[in-house]
Amino acid sequence: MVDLFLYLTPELLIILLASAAYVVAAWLGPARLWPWWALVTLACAAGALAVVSGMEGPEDTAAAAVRAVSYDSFAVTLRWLALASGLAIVAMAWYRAELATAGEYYASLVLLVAGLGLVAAANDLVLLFASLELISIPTYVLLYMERRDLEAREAAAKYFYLSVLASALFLFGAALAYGVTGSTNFRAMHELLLDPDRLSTSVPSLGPMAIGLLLAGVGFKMAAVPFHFYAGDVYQGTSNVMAAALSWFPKAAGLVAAVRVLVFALPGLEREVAWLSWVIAVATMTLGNTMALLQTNVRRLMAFSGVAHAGYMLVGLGAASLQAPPGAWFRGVDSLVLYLVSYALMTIGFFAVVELFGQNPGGRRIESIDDFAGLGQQAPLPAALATVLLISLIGLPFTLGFWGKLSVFYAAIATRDARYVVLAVIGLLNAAIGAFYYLRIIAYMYLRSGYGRVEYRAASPTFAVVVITAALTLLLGIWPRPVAQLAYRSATAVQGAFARQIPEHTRRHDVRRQVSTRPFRPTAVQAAVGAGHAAEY
Amino acid sequence: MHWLLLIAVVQPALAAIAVGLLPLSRGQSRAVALGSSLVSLVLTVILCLKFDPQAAARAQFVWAVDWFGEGGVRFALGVDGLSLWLLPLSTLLTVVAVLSSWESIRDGARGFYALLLLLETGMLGVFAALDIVLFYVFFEFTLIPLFFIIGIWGGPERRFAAVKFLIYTFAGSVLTAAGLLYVLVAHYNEHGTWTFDIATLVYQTTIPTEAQMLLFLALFAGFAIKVPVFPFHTWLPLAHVEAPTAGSVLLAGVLLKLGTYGFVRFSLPLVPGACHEAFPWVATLAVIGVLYGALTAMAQEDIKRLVAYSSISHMGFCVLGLFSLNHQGIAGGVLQMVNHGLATGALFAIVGMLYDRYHTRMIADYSGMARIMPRLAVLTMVVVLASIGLPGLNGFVGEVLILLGAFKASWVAAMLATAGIVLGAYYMLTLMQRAFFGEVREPLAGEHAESAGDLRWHELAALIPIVAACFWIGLWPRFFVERMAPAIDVIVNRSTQVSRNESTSKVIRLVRRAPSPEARGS
Repeated sequence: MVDLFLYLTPELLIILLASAAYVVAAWLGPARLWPWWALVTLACAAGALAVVSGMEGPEDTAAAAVRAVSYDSFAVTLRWLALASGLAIVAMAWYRAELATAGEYYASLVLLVAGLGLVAAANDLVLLFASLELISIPTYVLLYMERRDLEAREAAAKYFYLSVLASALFLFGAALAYGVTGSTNFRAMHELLLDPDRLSTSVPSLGPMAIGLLLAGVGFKMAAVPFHFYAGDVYQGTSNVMAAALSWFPKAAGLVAAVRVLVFALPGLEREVAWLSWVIAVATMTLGNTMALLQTNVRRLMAFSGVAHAGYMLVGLGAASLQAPPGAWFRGVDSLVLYLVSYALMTIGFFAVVELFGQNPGGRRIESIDDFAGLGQQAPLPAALATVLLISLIGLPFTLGFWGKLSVFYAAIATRDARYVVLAVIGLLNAAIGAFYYLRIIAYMYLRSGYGRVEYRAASPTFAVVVITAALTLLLGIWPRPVAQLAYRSATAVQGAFARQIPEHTRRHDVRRQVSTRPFRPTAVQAAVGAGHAAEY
Repeated sequence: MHWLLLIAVVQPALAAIAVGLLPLSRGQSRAVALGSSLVSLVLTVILCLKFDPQAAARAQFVWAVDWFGEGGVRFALGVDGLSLWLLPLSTLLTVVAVLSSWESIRDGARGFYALLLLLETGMLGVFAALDIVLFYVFFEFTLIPLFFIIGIWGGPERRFAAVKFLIYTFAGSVLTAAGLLYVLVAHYNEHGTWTFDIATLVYQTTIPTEAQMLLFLALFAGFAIKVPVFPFHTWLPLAHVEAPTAGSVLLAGVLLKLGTYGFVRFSLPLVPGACHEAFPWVATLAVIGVLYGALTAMAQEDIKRLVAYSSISHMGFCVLGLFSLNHQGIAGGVLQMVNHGLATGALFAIVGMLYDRYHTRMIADYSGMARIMPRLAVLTMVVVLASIGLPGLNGFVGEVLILLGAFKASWVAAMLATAGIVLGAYYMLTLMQRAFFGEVREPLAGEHAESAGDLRWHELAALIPIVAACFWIGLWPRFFVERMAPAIDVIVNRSTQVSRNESTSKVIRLVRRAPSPEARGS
């Protein structure tokens, strides 16, 4: 047990420090200290993660196999990504220290990082659910904090009710999955489903329902159709920082949860996962892109753009569930890791651009896409960086977004499943539709003349976020090898973790211990034993 | 590892970054652009001279490193007989583009030249890519600089033209992307290995008969829009007319060739059966393009529009030659890509020179320019004659080869295309007569008197190399054709092999249904 807590030190540290901040903030109130405190918290977590990231679970004993966390590099990669993106969000929110609830605000922001880190590491349905809630609950609070107008209140209420509903759906799905397998541990579920004799109930009856409900739960987090309809109102009704956080943390968490649960933990149900992802991906991409075409508010536009990107991710998810033949360059999970990295960079970076112009009361804020007009002349450097990010969002070459889209669609085609080949074509056509609304922003920046005054602080942390995200998008787009290798290693690790057999001599005992807690009808063996007992009386 | 090609391709991009980031003045940035484009021109000419004609079927001057994924995509550059002549065409026209914007680009020159150089890297990359993903990367990348060049430095309708250009071509090329990705899977299904090498993929993959037509259509979607094949041409006149001179020169001179190059590089060798089957359709579209382009060009009052529509006509010729699927036709098509690039690039540059002087592009405004600008008149006459296919100049060689090939494939198509040549001669010579000969009448005389002199050094330097190249190809075509012939033989062999064995054409299927001699014997 000790090593488990040791392994989770980074997240636990964040939770502890955040809890402390909630208490202290009641006395301290707003102070310049809070953003620094958030920075220190994340730095501590990063230090802790650097120490524990090399940790390997006690893999050769059966106990390790059914741990609540997984020690693979997929988890580590995503925890780093969570920390890095958290840092970017805190930097974007650097000037929020004058909020009346500054302490709570920054504490809630860093909790999102802990939530995503735990989702990445979770190897158990219960821990996974708790971690997902660790993202949702601070989000409810955050949505209320920054803006207090009617729009913001509507956004917060809408998000809260729908999120609770989604959590309930996820929980129901988790309960069914537990009902099918008799375990909440992903590895144990995997083992048990591969050996259906030991199952307590028939997979065909409950399995697809479990899949459907779990996908609904994560679909809400990812803003996938039909659980997307909160996105437009909530993004528009909140601040740029929160919109950035919303477009990244829940989406990534939903996708990572889906990878662990739907792709790996429930073997034998790939057909259902593939079908459902196919349908949802088509609906999500198409609806997201067409709705985004109609938007003029920039956050609303980015909300639907985020919906469209969730659709591209679902293409990769479905492709991952259908195993591509070996040797394929990208087989699904790796394409998702790559896509997540590229999406984090471009979406957070783009919101940072929008936020950058909102920080100075004198200059013009960017609310509608008209406000981008003439930025190419008025603020050449931010405009150029925004262009890089938008080109990446379109998916044009020499940006990381290109490689993300390419690998996702390649993974779909490499499954050699006719449906997924069609899906790739639909996805590519969607990319062409998507090009239009991103391009419109570029066209506003360079092909129109601006109005009013444009001001931005070049020495602000927000501008640093813009520079770093755009530079990484471009550099990794020109030389994608490091991130491709990272994605490949992570995917192989998670595949390997599930493919590895639990040693035979310990396996039976431990799996049975897991199985024995199941609540449903007894297996044949137990029934026989029970019958024996009955005969004695 | 051959560094020459890599330097030729990458060096303009590095120069572009330098121009974009350093605080250079207009004069400095255009000097850097000229220097960089000259370096690439010299390097590509050296490559052409060092090219081994015997081994033209294989890629030479190869430079490759792993780029993406595990043992997957490579950053691999090389030249073979099909791409050889397109490289110096691109570098030469980039020099022309820089020289023709020498005086006309005043605002934001730094950004302009940086984008121009980025565009050069993109164009060279497409032709030099040996990896299928790298090809697509450069293929798409060319859109970005051109979008800005048209959108920022273009004419009054530039915004609409730029967005339409980008969306139209991007929509087509995503389907091409799907097709190219499918090729990877088809190769895997056949051989059990994954590869991204273009030569391996296109020459060693047998696409299943039922998938050939779909793959053909997917590839066609992107390439036909680039060419553009009628009826996908609507973006072209708009983009050309609105683009600044340099943009038009490169768009017409090089970027349209991305489409025809895609056909000859991918469609012909990959799906020869579908190409055979589609020939009547493609030939029909090509001939319609030839005639429609020519007729529309005849009706234009704006010189730039006239040249734009003549491009549609001439590119229809290229497509007809390529899809006739025999040696002459393909060789003519590939050579005509270069010829059209030279002639049309020069024509757009000339339109720009006239426009710089008089700020009008209406044919009716000009008359007797030969008196005022004799040097320009001589050079224009040569280019026009090259464009209409006068023997001794390059256009003749290409057109004869295409017509020979097309005649073998379908005499009707060849006959109709010939009518296109006649029309081409008519509208081009009429243009010359109206604008350059007759009594002298300067448009808006007096207002721009100071700029109405004959060609200056940079304008001469832009046109003379093109005219020289026109003569070179026209007088010594063997030098050019023999360096591409082996590569074309490979395609023709593959195509005839397939048409003998596996063609999906109805006639052949009927023949194959009859018992073969061996079957009868057994």
